[in-house]
Amino acid sequence: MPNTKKKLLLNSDLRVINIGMNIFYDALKVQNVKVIQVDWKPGPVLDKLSEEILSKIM
Amino acid sequence: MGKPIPSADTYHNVLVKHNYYRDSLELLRLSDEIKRYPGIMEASLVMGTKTNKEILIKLGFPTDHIAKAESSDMIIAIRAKDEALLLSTIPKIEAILRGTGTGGEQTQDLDHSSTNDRHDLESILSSDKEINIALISVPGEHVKGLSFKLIDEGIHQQIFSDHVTMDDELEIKRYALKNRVLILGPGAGTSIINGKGIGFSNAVTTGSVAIVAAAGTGLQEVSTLLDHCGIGVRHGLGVGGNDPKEKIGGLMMSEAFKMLEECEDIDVINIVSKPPAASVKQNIIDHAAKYGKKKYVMTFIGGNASTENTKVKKVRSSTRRLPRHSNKIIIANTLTSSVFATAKHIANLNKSESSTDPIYVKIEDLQRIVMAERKRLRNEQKYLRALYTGGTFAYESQVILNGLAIRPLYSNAPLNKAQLLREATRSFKNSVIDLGEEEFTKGRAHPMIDPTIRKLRINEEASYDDVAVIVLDFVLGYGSNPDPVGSVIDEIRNAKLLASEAKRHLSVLAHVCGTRRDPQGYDRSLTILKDAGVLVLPTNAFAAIAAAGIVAKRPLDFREAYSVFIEGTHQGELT
Repeated sequence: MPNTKKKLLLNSDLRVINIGMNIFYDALKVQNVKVIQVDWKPGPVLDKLSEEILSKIM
Repeated sequence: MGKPIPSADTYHNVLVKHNYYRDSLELLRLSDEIKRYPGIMEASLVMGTKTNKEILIKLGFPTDHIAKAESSDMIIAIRAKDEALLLSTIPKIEAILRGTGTGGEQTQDLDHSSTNDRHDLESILSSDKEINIALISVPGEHVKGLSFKLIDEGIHQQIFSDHVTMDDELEIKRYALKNRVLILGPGAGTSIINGKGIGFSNAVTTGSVAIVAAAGTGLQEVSTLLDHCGIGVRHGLGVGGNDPKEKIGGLMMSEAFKMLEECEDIDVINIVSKPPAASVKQNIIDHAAKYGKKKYVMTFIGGNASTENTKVKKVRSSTRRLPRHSNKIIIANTLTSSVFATAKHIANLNKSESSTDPIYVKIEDLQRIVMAERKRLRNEQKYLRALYTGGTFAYESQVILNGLAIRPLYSNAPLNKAQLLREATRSFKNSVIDLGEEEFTKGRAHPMIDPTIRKLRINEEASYDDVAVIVLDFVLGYGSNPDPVGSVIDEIRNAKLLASEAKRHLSVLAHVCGTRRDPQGYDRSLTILKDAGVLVLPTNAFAAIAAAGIVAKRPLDFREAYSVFIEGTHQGELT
């Protein structure tokens, strides 16, 4: 079923969520674009051995 | 941490922090900050990727600690004038890192950005229903999960992250289309929506042109050159370099195209793409010819001149396969020729005052510059080295150099596989290097932000006796380095000095991609370059033609070069 939450984009005011580099947040702010910065951090990274073991189990 | 090691009146130390991740931009900014401490001669904080380790070794740090680091480890490499200074700096860095570390207390804002309103994703998505686009620049392996979550919320996305597999890209885009969400990227650094730049973009005038680009710096070049001509861009949608490939099938290029078709305030749609799959190219042309309501200028860079043996005449003739009723479509050979074609459309509509004079170099002027440079070269100086931060410029130059029969030609991002450079880190004969390719960017900031790789490379190229010309691009705008020209100008001066000490003249050609309203200062950047003896051309295509003219074995036919690569466009009715 199509998503009913689809947002308008072209020809509407931008409201941006920036996930990652702060430099892009600053660049949007300078242009007076409404932007929110996500405090993103990587999730736990599995080492290769664990990944191999897990893939065999699953 | 090892004991500080003295070497030639300096001390250095290399510290490896295992499984310790920080964003490459945060690390770059911290490195720059530490370099400004009194007595610190070099500071490099990087993730332990292959490229980063090679650079640290080139910067003179010992290999033993560096070699053991994994890509998930952070390396801190510091060189100082005295031991006490070095020993006191390391704990300061540790303190800063602890302050911004995972689960740590935020004691210091590393990059001094104004991001006081940082929030976690879940709380934003549940509380703010007005968000219509997400800009994503997290490491590639984390993109898919994030993207699906945002699609479920109906949020359009610009994904700057590289290192997302094509399988993941296809899954994301198919799911997005089902949910009527636009996905720009992965690898999309640049967009303009409603005149506002997202990611790397320039301060351009807003007007009646829209651009769909699968070539980020292509979008920047076209939008800034149009701005110099007095023509505005309302939307510029960067869909990512993989989108027009066979596997992805141009899914988002078509979607972006359809969205722009519905915009009443758009007169001309300009399509800029790195070499697309033949089927994707044909679909776009057919769609525009059949259903299009606008004027179209399409540039498939390298799509016309992708073989080593392609000569100018072949470039000319291979662009004429258009449907009969497609006189609203113009196919351009280069970014520059697409701008001239767009300007012509706009002039015909008589909607605004525009002139292409600011971006044009008369044939006789370019010829004069080239002949003067040729006379100053020694016999053994035969080759050009183009060191680009913008991938599209690397492609565009290859189209031009191939078309003008500059041989042999190699690249780390070749249009033709036979021209693949064996090692990206080592030029051979005529070489065009895209420093933004993934082999240079894994674990470090893009060269448009971090000039380190290009600085080292300029020094290296200048040391070879057979190099005649170095070609450079400088990309201004939001998101780029705060001073792209200033950050490498010492290396350019040193390169010219090194050559002159060896009784050689080294030509350095450049073009600056930017507008007069960009924060770095367009005119200021031009002045710095010219003062250092750099020949500055208004577009990359002019710079590439000039470089070809300087190294060509026989004097170049400039009229032919201009007719194909500057004015080279073909209308649909030619068929």
